[in-house]
Amino acid sequence: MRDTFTQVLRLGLAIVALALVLYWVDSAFLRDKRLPACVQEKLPPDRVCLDTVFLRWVGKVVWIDARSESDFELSHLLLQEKRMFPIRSGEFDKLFDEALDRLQQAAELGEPVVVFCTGACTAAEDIARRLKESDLVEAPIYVLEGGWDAIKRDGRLRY
Amino acid sequence: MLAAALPAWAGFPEPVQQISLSYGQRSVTVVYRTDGSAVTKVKPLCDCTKTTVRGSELTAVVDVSNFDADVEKQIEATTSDGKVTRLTMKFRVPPVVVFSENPITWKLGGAAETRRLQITLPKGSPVTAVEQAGLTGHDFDYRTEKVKEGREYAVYITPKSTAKSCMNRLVLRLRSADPRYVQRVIYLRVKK
Repeated sequence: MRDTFTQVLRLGLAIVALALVLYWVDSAFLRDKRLPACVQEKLPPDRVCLDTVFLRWVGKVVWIDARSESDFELSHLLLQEKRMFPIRSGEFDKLFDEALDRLQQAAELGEPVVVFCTGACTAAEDIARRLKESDLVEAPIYVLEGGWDAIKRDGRLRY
Repeated sequence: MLAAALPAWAGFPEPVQQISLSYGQRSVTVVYRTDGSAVTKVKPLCDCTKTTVRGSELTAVVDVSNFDADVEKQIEATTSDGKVTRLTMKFRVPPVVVFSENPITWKLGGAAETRRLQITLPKGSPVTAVEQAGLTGHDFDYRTEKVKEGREYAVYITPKSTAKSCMNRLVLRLRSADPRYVQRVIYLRVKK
């Protein structure tokens, strides 16, 4: 009886020690890299979670990739029906013009425009603002919470 | 006693900085200082920003070569008191060409009046002339005018009809050593 109790106690202490080690590893190396869960109700009205994109519009949106050219060349969304366009600072006018006809069609079809960049960057906000200020895009425009990191992590969109 | 001399909070007294860029500028250095705490952690929110920290001073070097319009960039900085501050750099980018209006819109069913588009090339701009204008579409007539070579141009545009909605593009060919600036598009539309 005493031996069993001692064994259980040792096992318990070992589990606690292991848990503490794992907690330290997570805090030191993994926490910052982990994306927090996206809660739509906590976001401003012009930001959207990836889950919302699928729930509300069944993925039928026009994506705007605001990342740098090098990031885009490395990998980007592979979608049909002209659903993805790169538009980035430095080439805004040229890329905007290439996407414009489809962006205007989006309004007619009731599709929103969703802009993203790499997870922590703010380029998407800048591009979204310029799209709105152009006075040529009537479709609603959102910024994707979590950006490209959220898309890669989710796995539902091909790239 | 030293602790008492510090304010109850210590942070960045100037978390927002305005920076005016020049034509052709490729990078800019921005310095932030706290009023007490050391800076312990920095997270730039743009790949264009590289940071270094020395005690209570944070230096950001920003690659501005791709900035083509006014833009804000941010850095999240944590100080030794645990406070996280979002530092903002507001960049004012000089326009290479200024249009009096873009897009140019006529009301559906309204008067098909001639409108004058004024094109101004600011002093120092890498764009040195408007060489040519061409229309993609058939819904408008236009004629160009050189008001002052290398500085001011005008295009007079008239819709053929405002009976139906349409959008055409007036493509301007510009003279510039920088390939990014050799073309600009003016959007002409008739809409409700």
